[in-house]
Amino acid sequence: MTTADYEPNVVLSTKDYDVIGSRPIRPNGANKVTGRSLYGVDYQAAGLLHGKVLSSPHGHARIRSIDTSRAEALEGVRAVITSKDLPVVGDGVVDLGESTGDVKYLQDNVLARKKALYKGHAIAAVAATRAPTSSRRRYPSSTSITRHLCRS
Amino acid sequence: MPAKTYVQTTINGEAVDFLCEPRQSLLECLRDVIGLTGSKEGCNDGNCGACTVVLDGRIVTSCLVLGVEVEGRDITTIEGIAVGSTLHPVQQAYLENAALQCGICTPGFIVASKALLDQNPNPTEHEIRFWLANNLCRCTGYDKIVRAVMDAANKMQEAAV
Repeated sequence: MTTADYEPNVVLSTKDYDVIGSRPIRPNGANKVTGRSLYGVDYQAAGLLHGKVLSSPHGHARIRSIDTSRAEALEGVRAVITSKDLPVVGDGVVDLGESTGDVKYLQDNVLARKKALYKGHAIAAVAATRAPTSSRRRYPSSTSITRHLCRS
Repeated sequence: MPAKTYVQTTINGEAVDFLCEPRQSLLECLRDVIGLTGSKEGCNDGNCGACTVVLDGRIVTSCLVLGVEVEGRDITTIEGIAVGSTLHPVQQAYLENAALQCGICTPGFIVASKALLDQNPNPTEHEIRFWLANNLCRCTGYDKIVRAVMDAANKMQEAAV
């Protein structure tokens, strides 16, 4: 058959298949339409800690200093982390399977070290129990970690 | 920590009482205090509609309602839409029309869709899209959701005759 005598939209087969052309109901759908489906955020484990990341409000900014003392002093706060808590790695190439990456570049994107590289870049993170700090649970880090960021 | 407030309310036809902090939203009270996790937190600022519940007959985004505000009021959540093990026609239509994928937005969509059909049993496609404009879905592209609501409307009207 050449393209000239090809007729579009011709039903070439009327064979019924078991799967193709059928409209099965999503197996987990009933739980999803009734709200019973449990997602990760729906679980409450005993002793669960809640994390919050302080992200850079500036698109490009030098970090002069980060004072985490007030955050650490808050009741229920178990850990506060900044780039100072991460080991300093030199230049190097890391094998990412199908590609490679620069170790220093990757590390600078985990927690900003000297510079915030983009708006939203993680600066610090806090982990706390929910109950004692719950009144500040929404923004524990941004209200309590003193920021000394300036536009460079 | 501020003193908690004792709140008595009705959720899905049952009397419920709970303690909540003055700053806690209704969504937090439902999910974290009462344990009804069907209402989802998407944006927590009233944009996404995943936390939609019915409050005294009106749909509201529960993240923008304070827990202490619901004293003495009547709430319906996604958990209260089905009757026992029988799905509401809206829920059945969502299933049959493949109007859900990941399912995070689905509770809000179904609560809002049912509220629409309760007050307007025969909405046009435009009315459905307008009504559901405050619910965001990143999976389906909305078309199947709109078709599901139209399908539910038809089936509910047939059943009513």
